[in-house]
Amino acid sequence: MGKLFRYELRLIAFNRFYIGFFAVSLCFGWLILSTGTIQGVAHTAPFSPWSFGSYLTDLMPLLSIALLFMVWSFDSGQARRAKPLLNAATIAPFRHAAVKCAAAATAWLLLSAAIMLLGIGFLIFIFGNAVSIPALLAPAVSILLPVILFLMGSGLLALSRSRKIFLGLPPALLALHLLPLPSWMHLLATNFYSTYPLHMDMVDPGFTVPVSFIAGKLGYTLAGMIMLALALRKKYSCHT
Amino acid sequence: MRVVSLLRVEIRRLLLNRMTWFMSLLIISSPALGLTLYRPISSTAGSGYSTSISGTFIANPALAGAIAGAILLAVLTAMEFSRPARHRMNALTDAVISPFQGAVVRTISLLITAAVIQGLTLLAWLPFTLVQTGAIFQLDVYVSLYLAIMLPAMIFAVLMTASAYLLTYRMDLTLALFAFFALLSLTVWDENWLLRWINPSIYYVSDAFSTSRLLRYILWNRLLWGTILSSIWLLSCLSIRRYGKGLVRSATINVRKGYIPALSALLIVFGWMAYTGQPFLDHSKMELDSNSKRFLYSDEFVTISSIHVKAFPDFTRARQHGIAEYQLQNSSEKPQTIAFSINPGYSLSSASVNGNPAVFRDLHNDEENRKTIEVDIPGDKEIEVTLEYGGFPQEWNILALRQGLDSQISRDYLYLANQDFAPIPRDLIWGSDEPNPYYIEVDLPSGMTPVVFGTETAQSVGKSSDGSIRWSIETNGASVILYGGDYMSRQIDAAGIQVDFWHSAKHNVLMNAFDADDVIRQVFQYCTSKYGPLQFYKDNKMRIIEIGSAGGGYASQGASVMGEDSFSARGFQDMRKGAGGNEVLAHEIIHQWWGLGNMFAQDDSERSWSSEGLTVYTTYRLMKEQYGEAYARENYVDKWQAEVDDYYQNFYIRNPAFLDKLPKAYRTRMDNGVAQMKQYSEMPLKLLKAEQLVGGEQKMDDILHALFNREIDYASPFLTYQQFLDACGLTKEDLELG
Ligand SMILES: [Zn+2]
Repeated sequence: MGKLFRYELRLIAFNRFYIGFFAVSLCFGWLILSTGTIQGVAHTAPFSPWSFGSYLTDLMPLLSIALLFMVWSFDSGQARRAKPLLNAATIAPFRHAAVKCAAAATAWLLLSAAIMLLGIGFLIFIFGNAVSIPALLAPAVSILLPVILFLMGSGLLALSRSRKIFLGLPPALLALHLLPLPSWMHLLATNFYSTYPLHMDMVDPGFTVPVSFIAGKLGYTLAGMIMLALALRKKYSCHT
Repeated sequence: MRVVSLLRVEIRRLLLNRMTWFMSLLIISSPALGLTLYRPISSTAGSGYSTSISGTFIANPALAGAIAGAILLAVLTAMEFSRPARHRMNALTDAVISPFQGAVVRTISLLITAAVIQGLTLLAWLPFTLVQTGAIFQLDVYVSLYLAIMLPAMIFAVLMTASAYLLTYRMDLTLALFAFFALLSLTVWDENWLLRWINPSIYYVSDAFSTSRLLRYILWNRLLWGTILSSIWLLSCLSIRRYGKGLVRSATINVRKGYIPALSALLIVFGWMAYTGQPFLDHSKMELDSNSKRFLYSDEFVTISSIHVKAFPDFTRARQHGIAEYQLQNSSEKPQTIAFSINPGYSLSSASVNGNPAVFRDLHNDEENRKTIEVDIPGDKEIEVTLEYGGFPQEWNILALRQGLDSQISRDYLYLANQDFAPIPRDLIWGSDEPNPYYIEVDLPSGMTPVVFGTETAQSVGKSSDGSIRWSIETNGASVILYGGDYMSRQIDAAGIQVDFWHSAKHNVLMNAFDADDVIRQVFQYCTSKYGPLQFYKDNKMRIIEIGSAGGGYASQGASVMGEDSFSARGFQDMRKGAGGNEVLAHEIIHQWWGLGNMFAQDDSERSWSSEGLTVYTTYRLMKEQYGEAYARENYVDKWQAEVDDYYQNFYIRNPAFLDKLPKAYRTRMDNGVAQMKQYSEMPLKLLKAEQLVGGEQKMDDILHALFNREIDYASPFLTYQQFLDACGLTKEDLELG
């Protein structure tokens, strides 16, 4: 099991796409840190959870597209060529698919971790011990978890039907990102971190979020899990 | 020949493809998003969304179409380029045509598809736009805005995606690179008008005056990206894989086509020149220096008695050209150096003193949209300096994102203010007690009427052979502001003042429909009843001018000027519904009470006590009386508070210890905003506090009435903050905000 996981992870991580994307994301992250985050959002410090959350949400469109492409590549090129070989092995297709998902999720989380490290490194380099690292973790989790589950779920479900439907996902995602929806509906938490503290009527508010926001995030997380289960079932149950 | 026939085959195939049609339909309908969901042009109204009709129904839809078109064409391009690979027919297609020809044919056919989609979009939206924009519809504006905004975004997307594919041969990586590039334009490059390829920066699109300068600078942005992306596309052609070899080996084979790298390098150089050599903005330093108006050249020996400017603007090339004569007296009997301020985009072609060529120096010291020209003059008593000057007027670089509003030379609109019109003599003393006369002669196309910022009226004095009309205007002072357009005027008797109101003829229907005269009259009546009549006008005359700008205006003795957005149908309708839409109009008229004559010193070291405080406060009171407390609180008091908070609650202001961590550009921007915040927001809040402390609005009105009609002590004529506090019986500390 562990061997297969490592194989799949290596397949993703030593891929030109992944490496290229890694570099591009770090570049973009640096640009956002040095032009936006450094000014602090919503009157808070540049090293506040709010500013850090805003940094991550600014990168989310790019990261979520990366995630969709990782899901897309489940089914293409190299992966397809490896299929006969693996089908011959004695692993149940459902388990194999689950392992692939886990590998893609891990690769994506590694990418996100690199971006978080870049941000934290940047802040510590400039602001030294004014930065509290544990305080930055809550916004990170609230951003990353719904995104990874929902996008993997919807991506795999779309792929299990047709690749054309899947191609509609990135534009739909971008539209969702750009449209002025209520904040709980925003999967990528667009603008939430840079505007919500302004409504809290105090300076340097701690990191608390409204119930609707939590509900929205939980909704996306749950929907993602359900779609993930459906997709894995649908695609691989018929093979067994 | 071969390529052409291949092209025909490829286009035919594209046009018969269901996917192409599906994408095209999506793109053609995408401008609808710009009507509701995606409206990037900033709103000029205090509440709700409002911008010009052209902005609402042409530019916003075109901007939405640009983003949707770019994204969908990028997907289409990536699919088209990866099609042979996806269908495993590389070897086959490569045998029929060379991969190089294949790339060229695919790219060109996609570019043609983009153009076809653009043409269909223009046709599809024409009836709707025609109905919505009504009287102000101009076909050339409609077409050129779409062609400048949307079409290039689609072309760039094709070139970019094609290049990315040729470099990587991977569809996923290609689309990721495109996403990165699109996001850069939408986020990181947000404040760089030259780099925003997918969403060019548009602040306002004029309905009644001109979009000519706006189009010029958008086209410059398009030129820049066109050259850069063509260059990148050519380079990417070098990486076309040959004989199944990898990137590096293929490139070494391809580079033998020597003309490709050469052409690519040439285009990159062009791109670089377009980036660094943009003619639209000056190079003023970003720090605003409140003490910069120091009197460098003030010379008690040199006085000025008159100025005479002949201007011949070139309306095709949008350049000013003029000859300015200055009558000076040098009582020192020694040579002197005098200085002029001029627009940084202009240069002097010659200078002469008393008929002899004179030595002059262009200091290229751009600051606040001016630069200095020094001229040496001899020790003669009577001196006539003649300067021949001209060039493309540059706008101030801190206004990079709201270009096209502060200067304009086009057939439908002329706007040349101060240093944009003619060199301004600096720091010279008037020869007599009255300001010197300023004579203007200017050649304008027939159909264009000149208006000056002042009470004087232009006379037409002749017609030249090319059909243009020569106008003559007599005004006074050291500089003038000249407007030209399809102006018409109407006379309004407003509380005893004869107001001549100049506006675009295109707005005549609007002004009649909403009774603009009455709106203006109301403001005059309000101020007259609260503070007393205006007294310092000769013949009780003043002028109100509508100009092709937005989001503000200005006022001086004899005239108040405001952008065309002060007179929008939406603004007037809101007023009838009980929500003020024409604040700027009121603000600029109220300045006639607070701000002129002997009201406020030009330079106040505190910078917070200025004509703006009382003007903004009075506007608030007027709106409160007309539209009620809730409206006034939401649109005035809350906004002042938000802006004050924005500054004082800023992390770096609260924690100055960290200030040195903030990059200089952001510190500069913060410093530059302080004066504005203090004048327009903090002082009105203090005045509101004073109103509560003195016992309410009625008491405050009495105090202001007394201050407006006070005996003027000519030794220190200006109204100071201390005088205001004394009149209220308050101290500075009393008005400090908590
Ligand atoms: Zn003002």
